[in-house]
Amino acid sequence: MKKNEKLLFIGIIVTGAILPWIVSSEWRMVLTIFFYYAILSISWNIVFGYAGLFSYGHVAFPAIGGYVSAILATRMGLSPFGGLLMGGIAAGIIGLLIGLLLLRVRGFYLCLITWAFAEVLNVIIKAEESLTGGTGGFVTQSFFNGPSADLYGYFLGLFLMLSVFVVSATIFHSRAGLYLFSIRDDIDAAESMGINTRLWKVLGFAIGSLLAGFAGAFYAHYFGLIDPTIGGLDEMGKVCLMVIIGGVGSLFGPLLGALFVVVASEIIRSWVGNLSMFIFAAIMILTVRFVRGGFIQILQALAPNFKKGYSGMTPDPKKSV
Amino acid sequence: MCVDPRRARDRDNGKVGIVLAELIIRGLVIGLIYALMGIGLALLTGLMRIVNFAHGEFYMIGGYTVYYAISLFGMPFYVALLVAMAVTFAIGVVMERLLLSPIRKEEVENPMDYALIMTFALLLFLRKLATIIFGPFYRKPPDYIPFDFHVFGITLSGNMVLSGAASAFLVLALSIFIRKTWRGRAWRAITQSKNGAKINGVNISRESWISTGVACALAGIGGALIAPIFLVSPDCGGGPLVKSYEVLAIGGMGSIAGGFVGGIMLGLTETLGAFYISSAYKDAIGFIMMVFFLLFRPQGLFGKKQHGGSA
Repeated sequence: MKKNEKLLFIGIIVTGAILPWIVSSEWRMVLTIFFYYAILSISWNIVFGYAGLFSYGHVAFPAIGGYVSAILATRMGLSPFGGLLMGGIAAGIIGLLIGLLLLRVRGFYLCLITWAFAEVLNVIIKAEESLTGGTGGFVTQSFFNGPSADLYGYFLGLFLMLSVFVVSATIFHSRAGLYLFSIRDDIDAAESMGINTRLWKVLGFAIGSLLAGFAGAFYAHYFGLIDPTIGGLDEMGKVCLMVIIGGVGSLFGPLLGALFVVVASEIIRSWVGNLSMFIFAAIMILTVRFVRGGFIQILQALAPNFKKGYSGMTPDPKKSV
Repeated sequence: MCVDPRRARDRDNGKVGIVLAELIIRGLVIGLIYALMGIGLALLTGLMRIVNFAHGEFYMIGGYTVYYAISLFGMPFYVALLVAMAVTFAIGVVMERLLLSPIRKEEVENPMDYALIMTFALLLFLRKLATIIFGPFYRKPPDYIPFDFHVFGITLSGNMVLSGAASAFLVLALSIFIRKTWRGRAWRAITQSKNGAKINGVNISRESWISTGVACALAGIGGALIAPIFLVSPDCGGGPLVKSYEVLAIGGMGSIAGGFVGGIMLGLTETLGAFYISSAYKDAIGFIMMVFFLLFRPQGLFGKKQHGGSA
């Protein structure tokens, strides 16, 4: 990581460590939900923002992670932490298989196939009631019990989010990141430079799925409950929104977008009811139309001195979307 | 009393036959509506080289327009249907002018992703807007044809007959339009090669908004026709959106015959599958068909092999 990024990263850790002691328990929960969405956004950003694979079924992976983990914990007596690990790995393996399947297609077809995958998975989850509890879902163990369970949950979420962020940052600055960017920008050129595009496409997709699987398992055991909405298209809409508003293909963009959407929807909810999605959709349209780099681009325009090393690579407004 | 078992079986077979026939006709009608939407989408995808995620929302807008035109303004149903087409055409044109035209003007690096995200945002926007304006309730416009037809012992509701006939007529009209008129030829030319069409004097910008409007109007009339059967609600566009993509995948891009057959195939498998296999897995059938076609026959049922990579 670059110097500025390290400073920012330490800032996030310190803020994250201080915040739970000063905010109310309700806002602590909002922040924990933010961690979940941040992991999801970062993982989708790896798939779409870095590798350029517009996966419209990314929420299928938290569903896989969550359900695998919850089923193992409830029916086989695995501890939730073991479930977290297994859920993530299961999502990663399925992501690898889907990634191999996706090698056959490009662009728009890829989007349709991932979408179909998420929908079929959702149908299966709803239909196999004996295993998954159907539409209502089922109750599973929580990570922690006792009076300060939500505080521990908060720190677990913070820890997971930071680890996922470190993975994302490492990819961003490594050779692997360059391979992924080159696949996104011009796959034919990448191929002619001798990059194994097939390998990196699959790997990019699988890493994103793995991280998303961890997010789903965390969600299931934090709330102690899992139901099919976790893999629904509304969730995909939210993830899409966060990454686009924050800044596609940038390092801090998904984090910023997730923070904005989660916190703003919590604030909006208290005074205009369920208008929040409408407002966010309008913001998203404006973002895509006028500022294709998202918040990160606006920040960079406001503070040009900070630009260097802030996100490593300037998201070119024309290239990032 | 003693019932001859053979006669009882014959009678049951007859009943099963009638149920089957009614199912098939229902599947056909639904399939025709899907075909209508899928062909609109195929037109748009072929001409603009983009994906329209908001296609289902035009179906929803069509349904609402017809509902309010009849219940608020007391229009006869055929006028209301035309109004629904006009409204969705206008909204489609506005969408193209405001949100999608930058694809051509500003040289967006990756138009496919831009359009995906933009129309997806539009989907969320329109759906939530409809919830705010119309409320989250189901609405049912009055039946267009309030009596049933009886043919060979099969009961057909008037709405079914009307929507089936009207969508078949529209598909036929569109295919004649595309085959015979200058504009239709221009559209086919753009689908084949944008630059080639430009050189030969086709105004791409104008054809883009006209074709977007037509595609949206087709979705709108689809929604309006089926509204008394399926009812209208703010998120009723989701199902038809999915179906129109499945039609697109099965029929291939820019192929009207493919879309027609694909839509009917989908409608039939869906109704028969729900009856004979499992209603829980009904939605999965279409998706699995779509994935199969995309992976192993990306050019669709009747399509020719595309040059230069897929979309």
